[in-house]
Amino acid sequence: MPTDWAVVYRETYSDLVRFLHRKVWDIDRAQDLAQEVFVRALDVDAENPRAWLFTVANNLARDEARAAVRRKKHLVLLKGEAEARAAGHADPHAESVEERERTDAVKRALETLSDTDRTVLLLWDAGLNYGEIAEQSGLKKGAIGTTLSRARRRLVEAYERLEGGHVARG
Amino acid sequence: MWHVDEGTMNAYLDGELGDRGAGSGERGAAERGAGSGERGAETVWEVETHLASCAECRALLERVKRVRDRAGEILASSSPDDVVAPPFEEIQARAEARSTGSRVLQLSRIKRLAWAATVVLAVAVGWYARGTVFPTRTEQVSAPLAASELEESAQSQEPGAGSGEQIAASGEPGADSREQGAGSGERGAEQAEEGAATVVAAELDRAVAPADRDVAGRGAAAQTQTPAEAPSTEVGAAAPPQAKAEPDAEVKLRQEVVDVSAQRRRSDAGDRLAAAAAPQAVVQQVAADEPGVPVGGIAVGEALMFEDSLWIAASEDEAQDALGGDVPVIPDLPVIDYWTAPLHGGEMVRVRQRLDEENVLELIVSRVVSDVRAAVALRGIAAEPAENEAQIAAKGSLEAVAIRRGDLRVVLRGPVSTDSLRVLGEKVR
Repeated sequence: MPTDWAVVYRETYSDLVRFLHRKVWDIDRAQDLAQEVFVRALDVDAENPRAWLFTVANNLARDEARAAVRRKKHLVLLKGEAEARAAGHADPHAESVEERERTDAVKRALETLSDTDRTVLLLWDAGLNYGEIAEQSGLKKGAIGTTLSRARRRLVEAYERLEGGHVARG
Repeated sequence: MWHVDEGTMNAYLDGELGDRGAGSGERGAAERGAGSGERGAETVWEVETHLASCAECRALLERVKRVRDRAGEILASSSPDDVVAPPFEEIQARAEARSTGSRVLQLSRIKRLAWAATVVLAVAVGWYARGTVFPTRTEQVSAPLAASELEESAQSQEPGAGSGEQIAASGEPGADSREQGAGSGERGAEQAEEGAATVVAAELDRAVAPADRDVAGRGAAAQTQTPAEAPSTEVGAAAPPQAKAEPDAEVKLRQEVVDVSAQRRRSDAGDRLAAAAAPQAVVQQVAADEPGVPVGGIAVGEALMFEDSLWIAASEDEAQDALGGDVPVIPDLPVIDYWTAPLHGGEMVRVRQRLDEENVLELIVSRVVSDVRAAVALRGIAAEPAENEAQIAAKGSLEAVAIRRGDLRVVLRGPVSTDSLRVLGEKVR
């Protein structure tokens, strides 16, 4: 039976954007990428549509991250580091300094996780079940609980450490 | 006594443990906690039964739950607010547009292939004719035929061709036959074939621009002689009056044709094709449009042409020779290498410069008079609007911009944004 992408779109779009946002840390770009994933999906009849979507999203986010690194590198080269830094922090969606700092702390806390732990955690947070996460990450389904447990604990520890450091500095 | 491990606790809290007897539990006992005093529970029922009798595991459950909830809060604090999905129809429209674009691109490729096939055919004919036409005319001169026969032959081959063929008929017998390696004894057997080849040559000349045809036609005659080998009296004996009346012009023409021949020999097959297969008017028209081309992105066709061009590694000196002057580069970026490729009316040069350890920037430089856009048109590649840069990017993940430096056109390509390329372009010297 062909995939009803309209239904999948309604049910999955926001999860996909959330997942991508934590990969690229730019909500506009995350939405662009999510839409790109669905544009590509329309030509596909996937056995597990959600798993397919997150696989493609993960790949796109990875490519995006590489491209962003290149762009940033050369913008720094061409326009001066200070200017580029200012541009890099200009996030119109961060309404306050506090929110921006919180987002930054989450980002840095996630960066302390291993790739596998981070991917499993973000896929769970995006709404995938253990079976889908296993398919996506290449882990055994029986290992997902343990991996999630470790990822959660490390995220909390890293975040508390960063927050504590921030409070101590402040 | 066995205990429930953290992984199972997480699976239990996440609702990922199977119900009693469902057989869909997350993991078998053997998989988990081996040697740690922990034991796996395969079902919600097993976990709950154990928790009811184990205070230690209940405490662990509380800790795991706190961490799990806190991790959820942390992630939620960075979640984007109010994500609104655009209508699904928008996604469908984008997919449809892309599919159409892909078909157009495919069609464009088919057209390119058709052009390429035409080009190959024309090159083959041109090559054959080039090797045949001049010897044919020469042999007409060298063969021991009566002057009247020669004149008649020349007239029949290209009526109204002017003095060129007639002068050819007046050349000194044997003078060029040595050069061409065609003995006069072979003449009779090859007469019919040569006649046909001459007609082909005439057709080819007509395909070439008229000015070029004149020079080539007259040049074919002049090529058969050197001043020492063609005394004026012999010319006079066989040549029609107008040829006899213009000996200086003949020498001049001879020089012209030597130049043309040398130039033709230097050209590669693709270049000859461009000259032979494309009407000169088209070239001029495209070239005339060129001054209006703004600094900006490059056309898809141009990008494809770069991909298809026959690039040959060159030294800096060779690159300078190809361009007829200094090759512009971006100061402070190390030059990796130089390449040249034929382009209608000349050559283009590609310089690769290192941006950093991973990335390389390309500068493709051509004279405006031999602009790549003319070549694009000649090769039949549609010069599509530059705004379709996505297709170019898809070709090689390269952005590209074109700039002008004097009478040079420089296309910069590299794995950086067009903004960066433009800034780099300003540095080109």
